[in-house]
Amino acid sequence: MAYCNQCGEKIQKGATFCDHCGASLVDEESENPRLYGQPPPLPNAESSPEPAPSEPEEKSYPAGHVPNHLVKAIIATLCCCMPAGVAGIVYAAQVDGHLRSGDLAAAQESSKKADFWSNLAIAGGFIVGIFYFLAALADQGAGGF
Amino acid sequence: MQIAKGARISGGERRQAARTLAIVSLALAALYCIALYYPLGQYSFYPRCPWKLVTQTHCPGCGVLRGVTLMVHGDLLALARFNLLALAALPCLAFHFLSILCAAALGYRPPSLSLGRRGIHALLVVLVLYTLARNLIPTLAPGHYAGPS
Repeated sequence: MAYCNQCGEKIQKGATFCDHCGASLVDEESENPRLYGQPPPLPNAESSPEPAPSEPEEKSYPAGHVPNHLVKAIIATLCCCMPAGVAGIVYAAQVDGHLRSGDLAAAQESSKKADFWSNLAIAGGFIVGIFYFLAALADQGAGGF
Repeated sequence: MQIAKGARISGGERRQAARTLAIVSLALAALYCIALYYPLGQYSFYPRCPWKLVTQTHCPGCGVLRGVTLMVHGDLLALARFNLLALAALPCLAFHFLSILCAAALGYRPPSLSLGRRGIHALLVVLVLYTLARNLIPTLAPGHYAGPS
């Protein structure tokens, strides 16, 4: 039995994508399934040949391949009034730059940072909102009936 | 800047889209109800912009709360008075919301405009210029309204 090395779920023999997490099970360089303890499957006449990505080192990935979280960063900047939202936009730009130059690992790293800073900005806005809500409640309490 | 082609998405991405859709819809519904039943100006729990409290200048987002809450009450042009940038962003956000809806419901991500690195940097420049302009040109400042920023 083979397991997906992204999520650890069992996968069917010969599958090119994991049913559970959707991760590609085909190694881009060797085109062999990246399975634990599984020899490369024999060429199967039934399976349609997967179009092999040519020259993976110089491949430039299509936009949208890695989420850049731009929309979230813009919402965070406009609604939460936080410089952290601007950091999110800067990292979103880096995601697209890295994708253009084909550096998938760096793009994923920037994607995580864009997500983190946008979430931080939204959380900051939330805390400010709660602070004002509590201040308004305290004001009513002090103001009497 | 380029068009990202539409594509069928994997089950994992579809679940992710459904989760995003649920969170965004719930938040929008909650904010709509708050804005409708607790009008801005009559209640003091609405937050003020921390940037404005500290620097005494308008941030790029100042006026969004006033504009959006007034829109809930039928003043559809309120956002034009309070934040032009947010007004420009509104159709893009609506399109993005519909794409997430489509991804979650049909498992298909529709084509979208991808700004690319240069496009996003241009957006940052626009953001900074807009912030400068609304602090220097009185007609671009958030509309005069006795309420929170």
